[in-house]
Amino acid sequence: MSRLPPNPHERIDRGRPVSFSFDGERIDAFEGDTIGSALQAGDHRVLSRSFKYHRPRGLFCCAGQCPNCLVDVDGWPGVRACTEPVREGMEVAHMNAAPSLRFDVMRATDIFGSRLTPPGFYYKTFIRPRRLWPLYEKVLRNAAGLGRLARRQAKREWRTEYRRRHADVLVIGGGVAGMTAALRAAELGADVVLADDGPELGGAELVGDQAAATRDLGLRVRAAGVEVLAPAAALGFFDGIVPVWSQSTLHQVRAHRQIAATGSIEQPLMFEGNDLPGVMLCSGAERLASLYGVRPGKAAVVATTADRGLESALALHEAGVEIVGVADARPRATDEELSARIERAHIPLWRGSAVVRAIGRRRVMGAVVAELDREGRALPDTEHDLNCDLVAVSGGTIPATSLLLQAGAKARWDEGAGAYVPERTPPGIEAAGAVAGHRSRRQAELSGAIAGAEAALSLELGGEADRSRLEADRAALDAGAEFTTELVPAPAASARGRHEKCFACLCEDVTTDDISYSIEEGFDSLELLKRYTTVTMGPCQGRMCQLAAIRQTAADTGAAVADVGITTARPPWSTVPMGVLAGRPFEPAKRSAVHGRHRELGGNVLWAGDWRRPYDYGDPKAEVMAVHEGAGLIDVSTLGKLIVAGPDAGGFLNRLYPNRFDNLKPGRIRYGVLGDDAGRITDDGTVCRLDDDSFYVTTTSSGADAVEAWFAWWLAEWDMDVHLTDVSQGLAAFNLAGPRSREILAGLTGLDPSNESFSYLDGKRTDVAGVPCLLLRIGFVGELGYELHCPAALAEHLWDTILVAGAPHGIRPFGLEPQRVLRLQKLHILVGQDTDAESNPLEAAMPWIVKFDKEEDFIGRWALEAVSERGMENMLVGFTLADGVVPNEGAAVLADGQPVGRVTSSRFSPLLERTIGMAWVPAALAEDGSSITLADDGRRLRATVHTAPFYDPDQERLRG
Amino acid sequence: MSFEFLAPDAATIAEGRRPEPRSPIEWAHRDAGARLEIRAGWRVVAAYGTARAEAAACSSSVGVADLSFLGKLELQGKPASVAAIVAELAEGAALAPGQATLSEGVWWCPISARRVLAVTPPEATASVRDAVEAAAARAPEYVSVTELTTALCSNAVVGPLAREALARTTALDLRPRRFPEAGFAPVSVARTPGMILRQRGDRFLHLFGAGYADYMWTVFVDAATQLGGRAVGTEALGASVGGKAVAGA
Amino acid sequence: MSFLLSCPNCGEREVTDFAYGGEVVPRPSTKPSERDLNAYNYFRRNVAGIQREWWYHRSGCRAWFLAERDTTTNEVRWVGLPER
Repeated sequence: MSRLPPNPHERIDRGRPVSFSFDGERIDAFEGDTIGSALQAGDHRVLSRSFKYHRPRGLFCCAGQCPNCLVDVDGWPGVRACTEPVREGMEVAHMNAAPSLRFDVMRATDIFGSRLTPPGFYYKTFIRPRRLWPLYEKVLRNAAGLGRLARRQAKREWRTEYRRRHADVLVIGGGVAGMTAALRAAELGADVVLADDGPELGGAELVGDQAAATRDLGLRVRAAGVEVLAPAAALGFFDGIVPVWSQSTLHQVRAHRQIAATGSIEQPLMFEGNDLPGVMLCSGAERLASLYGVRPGKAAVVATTADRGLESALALHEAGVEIVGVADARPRATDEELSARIERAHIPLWRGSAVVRAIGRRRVMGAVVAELDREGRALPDTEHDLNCDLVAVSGGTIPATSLLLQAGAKARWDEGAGAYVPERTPPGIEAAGAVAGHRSRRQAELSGAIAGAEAALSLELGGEADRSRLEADRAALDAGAEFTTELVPAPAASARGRHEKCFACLCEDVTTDDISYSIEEGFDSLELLKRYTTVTMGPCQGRMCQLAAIRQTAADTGAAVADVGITTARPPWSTVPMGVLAGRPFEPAKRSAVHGRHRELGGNVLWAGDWRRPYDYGDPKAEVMAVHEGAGLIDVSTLGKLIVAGPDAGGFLNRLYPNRFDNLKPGRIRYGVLGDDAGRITDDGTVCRLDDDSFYVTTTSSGADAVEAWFAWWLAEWDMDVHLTDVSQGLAAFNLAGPRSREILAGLTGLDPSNESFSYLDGKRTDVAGVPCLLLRIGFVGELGYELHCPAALAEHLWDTILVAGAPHGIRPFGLEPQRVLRLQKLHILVGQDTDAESNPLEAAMPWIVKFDKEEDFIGRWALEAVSERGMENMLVGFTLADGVVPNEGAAVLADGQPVGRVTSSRFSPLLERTIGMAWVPAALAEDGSSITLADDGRRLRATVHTAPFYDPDQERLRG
Repeated sequence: MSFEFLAPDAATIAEGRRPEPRSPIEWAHRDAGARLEIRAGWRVVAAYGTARAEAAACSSSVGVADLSFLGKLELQGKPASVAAIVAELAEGAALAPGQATLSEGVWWCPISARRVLAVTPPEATASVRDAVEAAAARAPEYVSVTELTTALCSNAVVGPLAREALARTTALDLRPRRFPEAGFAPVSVARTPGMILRQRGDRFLHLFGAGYADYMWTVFVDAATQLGGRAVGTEALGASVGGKAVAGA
Repeated sequence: MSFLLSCPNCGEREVTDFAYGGEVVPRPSTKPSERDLNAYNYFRRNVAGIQREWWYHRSGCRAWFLAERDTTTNEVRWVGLPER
């Protein structure tokens, strides 16, 4: 065990043991541990294998920022062990190694294959011979990626959802600056959300002697009513929405003001073997020791280019880690008191020196330290080997700017900070704390308080006293402004030549040599380099590698670092499961008011547009025959239904439809086809005039919303006194059709249903079985029929009653499929099925519906006139096939071997005992008896054109 | 021809029986073991289990109730005419955007200056409709009155976690400062056009196209269940359907 | 895209609550030439900058309104109901 003696700041509870398993081995931990700290305590130094070379990797940042500790937890790949709290009984497994984490055969790519696998090898190697690509692909896909998803769908599905959160202020980052900002804004009365991605609020200030004060601040934040989302990662900025991921919820936070207190990221150093388990960021080593009481190593060499490393060396020394020595790349520290303290502690301090190599194969066994020349190269005679099991490194810190940049801030190279820093943050967004360069605790508090107060005051909260305090805070922050100068570290090269890889990017295994190689190949701008090598594209999203890539690009190309620039900041800033982004699947479905009855009757319910509808009730042929011989009942509640009312209603419809409606008599019905100004058919339906001022307009089932929008649009443009009301979902509608339908109806209503008093295309208001109905005598299916429109709340009663009353007459409910056969027998078109974006009513064989003699203009008139003048090119016709073959809808119509048209509908008609269909054909072929050839699935079929309805062409049954 | 074919309360006696209007998802309620009762002529879910447990959900987490029987009438016309009719019928109320008015149990909800939705307790629907139609007939300009009782379903979402349930389905800012009592907003809910009315405190009425009744019920009962709540009958709402309390305060 | 759009009737909503109706193209008042008809039906200016366009509050009040939006930034400068 590598536990240190208890310290007052640790977050583990040594009185509460927790155990879990790692690759089947039992691991003992304490409440408060993370998987990573517990494994480190159990001396497990290798947690994963790297992406490309399968090199062993261990804890590195201990702050959820690098890829080194990604593990699988209970079947969930891609979990960061260093921030994931332990739970009793959890099963943790390594991800990217086979057969085991200890022995991974793919390591061969590292040991033998690295010369063969430079950047781009994938594209260069596997291109020839092309016919082998399917094989290559299979092998490569198998080798690529890190974790494995569960194979069974049920095991990889889990519940996620979006939660919308509106707030006055969103603070991103729960360090001292973020907490102070949240607290201040909340004190002034703002509704504040704080999101932090760590296992505990406090950020960097949880480590060290201010830990208690930091934790106390966290309590005050919660007590002030701030909603704390933690652990929760902010993923990006999307037009004012910040998605924050926490467990299975994606909080979509829309706040009036946002405060980015995203802190800073400690940078690694470039040297050979800088990825070995045992090489760790100083802050990571400190976290292990301070928060979890875990010894990061027995003997440590500290390498640094900044004062942070010196502070860490002292802290680790105090915690009980033997410090072999400190290599500071600078000739002197910014704060020389730190150097003095190191020397007082009898720790060797090598100034102007660096670690040039970590020694070891599976973990750090030692380090080589050398003095550097002015260019940062090791001086040959100064190299000396040291025994150690920990190399704690600090390349200084850079501000975590990505979210600010995504929000629209710009990045500027700051020579003093040795990093790109944010500037010109857009309105409504403030930066506070280390991301804004305010690194000390005092500065963080001040900048947080300022940002919080500014946000609240901008929302007209707070008062004069708060304004004064804001001014005082600003003055104090300015007075205390300090810029630590950090030396820019170059990769330190050993004079003995390269023995081991030096990694710029841990996520994607990109070495510094790879970057140089790619720049030589011509990928010498950062954005190109990124795409070619994939540096900055891995799980760390550039946290560990962007600056290294920038510096090396500058060094290799001779450009100034300030001119290299940075890559565009993009979401997601933190890795997030796809399922969380998907959220909960909302699949809005409409159902008719008698949907329950369809289920009970065994309806075969499928999607029809956005409706769930019965396609049939088990026997579509019998349903067709019932309509012909007795009666059928179909639920057509899905029809769009609009009430168009007002003094100008008739004139309005006259302008929208190519035919007339102002002369339609109340109680009469007319069919109408809607089109646009290009003459295209967009919808169709019947229009019944209810009274002088009002019309009842039906539309296709899928067109209801579009027709309402279309009508409303023209109404917005034309000055007409017309009111539109969509009653589609309020009215159920049933089509009672068949030769016996009149008798059935007669028994249920006081209305005289005789042909004389209720003729074809009459609309009447009556009660049926006590249910108030609008009855439309129309015949989409071609038999005597009535459409009954009634309040949806009474529909079940009406449906039930009709089926009972119709039983003696052989009534059957029928579905969409039989209806399609029935209407096809009549050549009644289905808009969208038989028509497309090029179909106009003239060519769709409905010239009678276009009233060019109408005095006023109507939508589509000009385009239809043009069609009329140039003549028909293609026509929609019926066709029959002799031998019972039913061609696929979409089959081509051929002329001289060339496709000239297509089949839009085809069915076998059980009544006519032959195949019938509709097709677009060249106008020359649109004559009864023309022979056409259909090309369908490699077959050639002969069909005969038929222009009149196949069934009841004289409408005797329909009108009888 | 009148628009009676839109009004469920216009049902007449046939074969000795007057058909009772019911929710479009009564089958789903029956499947869930609902106890149905007749109230104000409607078949209404009284409770699924015990009203006490359902009321507890409404006071401690969130309850969702199908109140599709509430009457809905749409009034449409020129802004001045519409305003005059609402003022006449709603004790002089002046409509402001985003703000509904409660008067004698009827919620007057402005969709726009030209369009107002009246939400009524079921027993008052017919009389309010008569009054509105009479007022519309007297108006100097054309005003249309359309019965939308069955075109729109309405769910009550009630309880301290009602806002949380809604936050999982809509982007509307429901914080009391932004959406106070009597707040009214036509807005997308669960990717579906709808309207939200804040009747009081933690009690919201969600109105939406009746075709979506089953979908919306599934979505909200599921959201409520995740939050520790449940589907509730009208008894749990602590008000009788025959009184103003259902539509009103 | 998740910017906010203000409906003249309802106020601010997510842009996903609306349907986009395209740039305002006035319908010819008299019969156009074939060329003009095609231009009206198919040609759009597609400006990079301020554009006057139609929006439909599909999930809300179901009214059409006009907006002036900067197509390069999605900043909406003005919204209003059409004059009637």
